[in-house]
Amino acid sequence: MDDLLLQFDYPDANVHAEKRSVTTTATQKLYLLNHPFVLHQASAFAARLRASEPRSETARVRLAYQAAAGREPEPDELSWAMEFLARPAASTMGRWEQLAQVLLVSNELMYVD
Amino acid sequence: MSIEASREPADPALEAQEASRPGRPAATMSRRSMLHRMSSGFGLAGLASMLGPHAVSAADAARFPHFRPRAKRVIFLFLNGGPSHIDTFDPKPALRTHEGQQPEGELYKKSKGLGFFPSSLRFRRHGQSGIEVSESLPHLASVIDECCVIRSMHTDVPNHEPALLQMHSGNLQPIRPSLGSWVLYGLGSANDNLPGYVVLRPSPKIVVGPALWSSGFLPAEFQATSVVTSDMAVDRLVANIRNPVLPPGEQRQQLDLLARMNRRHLERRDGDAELEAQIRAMETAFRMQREALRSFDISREPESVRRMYGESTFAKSCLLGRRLLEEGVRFVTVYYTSDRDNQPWDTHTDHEQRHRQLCLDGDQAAAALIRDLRDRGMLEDTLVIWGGEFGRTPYAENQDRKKLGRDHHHTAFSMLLAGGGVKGGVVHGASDEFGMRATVDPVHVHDLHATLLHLLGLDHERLTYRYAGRDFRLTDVHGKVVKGILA
Repeated sequence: MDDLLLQFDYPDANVHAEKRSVTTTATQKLYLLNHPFVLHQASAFAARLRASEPRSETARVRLAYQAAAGREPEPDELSWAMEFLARPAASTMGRWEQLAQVLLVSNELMYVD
Repeated sequence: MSIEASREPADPALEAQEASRPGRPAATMSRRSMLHRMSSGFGLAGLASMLGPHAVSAADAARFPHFRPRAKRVIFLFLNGGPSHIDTFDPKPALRTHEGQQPEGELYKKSKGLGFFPSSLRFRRHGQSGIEVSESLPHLASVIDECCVIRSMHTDVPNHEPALLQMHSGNLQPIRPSLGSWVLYGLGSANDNLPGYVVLRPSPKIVVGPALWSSGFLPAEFQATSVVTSDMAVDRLVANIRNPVLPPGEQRQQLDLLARMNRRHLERRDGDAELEAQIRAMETAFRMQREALRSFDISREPESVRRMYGESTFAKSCLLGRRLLEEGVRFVTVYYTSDRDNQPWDTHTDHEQRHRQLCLDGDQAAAALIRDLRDRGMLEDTLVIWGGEFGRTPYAENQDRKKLGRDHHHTAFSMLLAGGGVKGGVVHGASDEFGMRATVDPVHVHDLHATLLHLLGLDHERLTYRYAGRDFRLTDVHGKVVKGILA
């Protein structure tokens, strides 16, 4: 079976499964941190924000929160994000892409109450 | 992650009362937080913190030894295809005097070959114990005083798939949890920064495949992390272990931001235990990157140690297995396969030559592992198992004298155990004079499993998991602990 599905508790098709078991493992998180698919989605999200109407960084952070969490960022959250974006980035992955990834893998987006 | 077991239905009256309490907007009262406060609430939170980082899962209820364990970890060296017992640890001189004679009694399959086919290998007594070992295993012979040879193993079916499944899961058919998954379910992982159950296989293809190390109906956290060891470069061994672009420092800053956001989210959800576990798992993953890059890197071993194990992929896998055990991995399986042959020990033809060749490689690494564990003081609480899914027939499978081979044989075969609370320098059980049937103190696969769990401090009758309406065990309704081999 696909490794990713296995990682996230997809039941073995050879077995009847009354329900999907729910686990939390570090290897699931490694996927979210490092897998090319996730990084690609983060880039795409950042590109979408960059191409958006509002030009100021603050406005884009607000937009990012609206897109990812369906709400406005709290004042704290906004300043954390601004602080983060202002830090120098040495890697080819820019801070916007990193922020986009953070939003995509955040508990708020990943886990529906 | 699941706290299903502790979630009882909340009292509807209380729920209504709580939701309508003035000054508390209904929107912030989630169903989850309600259930928590009403039924499990503080009690569970307290228990969780007492039990430590693993306490969130319902399955964790089973995680404790039933009695004092002798072994803390296991490494299973699995020789795919089934090594011949009468050419390794079970000398049968009677085969020579009866050479060519057809075997008698009930056989699984009619013998169509040349009849009894004695081993061409010489057996000599070794060590203080004087256990007889074939000349094809000089290295294992040199550590035989550390080992327990079981000469009376037997299993139910002489076909690879069912026999592999039985050895790995106790059942002839798939879907059952594997040995390692049961162990992890029973004891948990001993290291938060590495997976608890690791499968090392030299080639991607293995007969039966992932069902051999699956967690079956146990939660997925107990499944093995499977690693193909043909390329020992660390990035290739462990999936997603390194970010392709972000240096660790920058990723740390990224995770600090994530942690802040997740903490805020957690506050807004009344400290939900599942969300808390997610935050912790992310931190574990970050640390795992550093830990795994070090643990999985056998190039850090001194030259002398690497030489002791040998150059083959199996040998390197054994060395990697030892590193992982040292770091707290609970259960390691090393398979003996290659790209050319996914069950090399299955010597139906050219048995003599192929068996010798296989031993050259398998012997040195296995003995090096035992010696290495001993020298590090780890052998006493590490159980090493060496064996395959069955043995091979004492009679020839075919008629061609130049290519004589041995067929699958399930009614008697040998396995080697070392360390982990097992007596060293002993032989347990015996097969009949031709090596056909286990006659003295027979040890079924279920008995081996029961013994293995016992050594780890687990009672095989009490280690159960409820699935499909009943409690399942690794040993089903069978299994007797082999008391005679316990140190």
